[in-house]
Amino acid sequence: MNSLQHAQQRLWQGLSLLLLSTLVGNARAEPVLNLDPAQDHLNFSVPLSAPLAAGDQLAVELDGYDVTALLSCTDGDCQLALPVPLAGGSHPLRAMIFYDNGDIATVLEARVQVAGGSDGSDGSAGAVEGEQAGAPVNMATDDPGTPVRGGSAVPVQQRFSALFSSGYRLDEKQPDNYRGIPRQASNGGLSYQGAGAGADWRWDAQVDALYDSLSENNPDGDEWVLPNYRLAASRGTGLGRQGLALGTYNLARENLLFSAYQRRGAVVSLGDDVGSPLKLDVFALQSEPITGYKSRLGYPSNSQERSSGALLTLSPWQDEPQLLQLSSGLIKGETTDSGTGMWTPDEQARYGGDTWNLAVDSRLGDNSLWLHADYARASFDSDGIGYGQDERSDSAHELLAQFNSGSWLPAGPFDQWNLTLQHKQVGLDFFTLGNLGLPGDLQLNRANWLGYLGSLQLEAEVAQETNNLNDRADVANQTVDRQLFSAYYFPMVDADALPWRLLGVPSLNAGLTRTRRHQDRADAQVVGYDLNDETLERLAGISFYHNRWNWSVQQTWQDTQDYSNSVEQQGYLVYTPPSDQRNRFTTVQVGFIPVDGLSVSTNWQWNKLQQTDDDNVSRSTGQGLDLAWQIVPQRWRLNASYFRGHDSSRFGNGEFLGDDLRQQTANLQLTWSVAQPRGLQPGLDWFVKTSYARLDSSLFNQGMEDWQLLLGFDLRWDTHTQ
Amino acid sequence: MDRQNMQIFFTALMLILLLPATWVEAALPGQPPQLGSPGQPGQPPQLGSPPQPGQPPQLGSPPQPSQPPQLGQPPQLGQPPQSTPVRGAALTRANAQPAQRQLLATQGNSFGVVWQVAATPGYSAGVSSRNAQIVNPATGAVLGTVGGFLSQAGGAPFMFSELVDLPAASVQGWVNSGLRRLLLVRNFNGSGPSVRAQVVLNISSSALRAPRENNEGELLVQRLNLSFVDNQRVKVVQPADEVKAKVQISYSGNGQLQGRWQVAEPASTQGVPVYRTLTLVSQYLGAAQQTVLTSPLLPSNAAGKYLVRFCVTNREMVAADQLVLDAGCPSEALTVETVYQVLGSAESEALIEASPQSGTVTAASPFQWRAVPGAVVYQLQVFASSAAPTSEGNNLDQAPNFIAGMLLPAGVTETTWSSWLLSKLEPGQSYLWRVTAHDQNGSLIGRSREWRVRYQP
Repeated sequence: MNSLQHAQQRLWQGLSLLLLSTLVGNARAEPVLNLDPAQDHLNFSVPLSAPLAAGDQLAVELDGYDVTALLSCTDGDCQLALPVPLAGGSHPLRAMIFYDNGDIATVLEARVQVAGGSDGSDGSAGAVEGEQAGAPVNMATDDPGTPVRGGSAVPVQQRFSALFSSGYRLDEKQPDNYRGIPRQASNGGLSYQGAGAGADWRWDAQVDALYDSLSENNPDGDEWVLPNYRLAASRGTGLGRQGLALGTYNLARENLLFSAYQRRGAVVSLGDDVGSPLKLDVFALQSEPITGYKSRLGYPSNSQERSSGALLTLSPWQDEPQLLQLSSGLIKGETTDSGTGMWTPDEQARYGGDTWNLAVDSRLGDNSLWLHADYARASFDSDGIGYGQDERSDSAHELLAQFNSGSWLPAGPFDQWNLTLQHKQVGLDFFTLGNLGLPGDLQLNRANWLGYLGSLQLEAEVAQETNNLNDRADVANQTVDRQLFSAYYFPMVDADALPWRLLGVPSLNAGLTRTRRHQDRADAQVVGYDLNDETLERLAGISFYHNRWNWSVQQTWQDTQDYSNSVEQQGYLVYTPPSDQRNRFTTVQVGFIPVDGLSVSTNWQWNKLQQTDDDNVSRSTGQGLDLAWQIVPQRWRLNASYFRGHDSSRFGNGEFLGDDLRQQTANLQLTWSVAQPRGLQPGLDWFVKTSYARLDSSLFNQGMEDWQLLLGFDLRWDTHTQ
Repeated sequence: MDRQNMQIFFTALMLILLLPATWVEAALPGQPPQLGSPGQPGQPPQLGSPPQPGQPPQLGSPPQPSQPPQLGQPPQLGQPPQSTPVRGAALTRANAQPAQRQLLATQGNSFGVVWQVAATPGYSAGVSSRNAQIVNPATGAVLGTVGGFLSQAGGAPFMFSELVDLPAASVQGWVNSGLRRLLLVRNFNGSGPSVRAQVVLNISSSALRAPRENNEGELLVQRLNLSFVDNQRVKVVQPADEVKAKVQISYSGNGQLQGRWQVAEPASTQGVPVYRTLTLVSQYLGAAQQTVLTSPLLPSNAAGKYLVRFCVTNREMVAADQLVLDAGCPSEALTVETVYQVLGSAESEALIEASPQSGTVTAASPFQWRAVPGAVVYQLQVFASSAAPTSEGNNLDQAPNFIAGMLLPAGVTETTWSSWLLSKLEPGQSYLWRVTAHDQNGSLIGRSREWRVRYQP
């Protein structure tokens, strides 16, 4: 057993001991109010020691919303009207009394349990950034997903939506461009979500699939794509919860081991994120992000295609879990650096190894202080399995402290502020399958301050990055220093008075960033490269918001001064300093809703990049227009878009010819809705659509122009609609 | 001519004129090892109309007499020392495109080089080059030779295309020797002093290690990783869902990144996809090795298939053998693409006109909005206003900053903030608020903008 395995064994022993010490009656007993999904009201009793006096108010909170306006109570017996069905799962309910003298008392804390669904804590795919702890689980949300009750004796909630679109290409300008492309083409997609529950178990299922008869338009070249599927079952709640899931696993952690990590495979879970001191996931996943349907759907039996590991979260004090949270992770296996939506210069080489981490988080003083420490270690073959060296070991660590004004720290002249101090170091040979793009051989020290003063938001940051952590003589010691300052101002104006009644409510932003890069002078001759430059970036913008329109202008000025020296080795000029550079970028955006059902948005961009030493100039411009118009609601609809762009370059040296590329594209679609979907009965739309493209290159003295016209229909299903 | 046919055309043109692929020969005593096969006598490449002897090639705009037109960016890296112009006809300069190239020890490295040679006016003695050499600039040692004899008679400008093939074993040997930066050098001889051009070869043990090992060079994109913001690679979307994509870019060196987000919409994805640019990107990459760019809101109003892609448009990163004309994305190698399917067309939500839109509010301030037909419940939401605004409005979908809300029955179009909600707020702080309307299914049927107010009890 090597030292890494020995260390891992001791680590798991320690964690097991800590786990045993926390498994002591941490569960809190709360009354549970069971609710059938079809019920439109909820009855419950609020224990009142005495009738409410004048000026006292009873307030009821459900899922983070004040629902008092939907409540009717008589002597403590209350009925909550539910104008829309509650989603399946558990919903926290709390009743409070706001006394006239300013006191607040909580008189009831309960959970409303609606049959089916999940608590959203099992890493199911589709979790959107932002829908994390702290965000509302709304009774009525922008993305309701409220399932319709099925007909099974055991309450099952399902939603099925699908589209089948078939189009026939009536005509085109350049038939040669369509060789091998049939005139009739179809595509579509389907989405299914289902959930059900029994006594103390529940299940949920999801499937998303796409079809395209023009298979070359799909990532893997197959007609069918399976981007997301999941079948999960769990039993029990809290610490006693046991779960099994097959399919897409979205790992929500962001740390030294994982970042934006989502794969398909098999996961076994113990415990829960909510109401449990422990959560353990053991997983075996496909190493690459794939979306095919023909193979690699379940447990990855091939070790060369498998990444396996575990995640553990411990919160020893359930009464105040934020005081201390321990987390640990392990991932091991092999992979190529390839997959859907990826490009690397070498997608065949295999890499692999194992990486583990241990992290501690503590939030003190009502979030006045957040302390975070993370240590990770890897044994990884990063130069290709079968190439170069075998596995190399290295480590990484991160320390973070965030101070927030509030309970412990006075806000001073500010309404609120926070200060973040970060130190992060990732070794040259530290790699993880959970984040192959992690920057390494770097040390980062950063301080960031954010403050709010009335309508003004200020941010300042200083950071420094250095490389060559192993102090190798053949590597240049490079340092990047960065300073940032930005401000956002939201003046409080009378929106009904001029000029704001016409312009809209304003907001302004400005920023300044300075970046200085340099390396030790003596390293230039060693590595054949010199680095010494400074970049100053300034940006300013103004935006206006009105009920019916919004518009904004953003301008960026960026200047880079290069102070490096040319490097000559053995008579060869191996490095020539680049030209100083000037970049200007302007964006104008306008959105307008003249009447309900009609929205128009446009944007213009101008970019000029100039290499001042050589007088080389490149310009890019773009103008875009989008229109969506419900000519007759739920009957006739028009969608259109247009883009015009121009890319040009001019060289100060007359020996070179610059580029000059002009392009125009346009899309137009007119849709007639014959019928709307009702349950499993499909809706029908007929459409005619056309697209146009034109490309002109002066350099190559060539142009291209084409258009195509299609006629077809859409069949739509959506069981969410009645 | 569509993108695919254009690529085939240029690739075929290059292959017809390029030297054949090479094989490794045993080194002769006293001679550096030959990397690749000996080349055939070079023929000038044809870009546009084929050049006639003594006449400069026609490339769009007609070149000025005695000024040979050149293709592409002026070389910036590894320029050979400028030959001193001599009186009388002579070669003046030579350069290579691309100016730098990355070699990986895990794969065979095959890339095209375009050598360009200029001369003084009236020069007609032709040019020739025996072979290209791999040179370690730190020591001056020649590690090997590639390619073969190139020559062209007549006058300038001279242009040669060459396919260089360096096997993985050779590169691995250089890595094992600790070499990280080499030069590919060609000397061109004619009348007068010879001129020299070179390509800088940056060596990495693998693509995975390249961002960490290759920091001594110009900006080079090493990895593109495209997904949607919820980390899904391909997405099925409900009508009018807000969809955004993100691309994680790993790179070595630093510099200005230029790129664009493009989308092909259902109007064209059942035929030949037509891409339009959503936004240009021009961003200085100051941090080391990685950045994440987020797309603007992707269109999702019309049902059907959408293709979304991000491409890097820095011309200096595009090798001569990869140049493709296609709606602003010059290189397929630096383009990543994915798809999403919208399962229906969105019926526009009613825009709820609401107030207050600005200013200070108290516990007694009325919040009002226009009634929405068909609404059974209104949802009033309050958010922290810490999100930085963008041109698309206040950015509520990128951070979980919801604070509290109120549910109100149909028929209510005015309310004050309840005691419970006020207990969640800090005096003197600014907040964003909005109201949404929902039907009996919970579906969103109306929404107001997010307005910023300051709470003062």
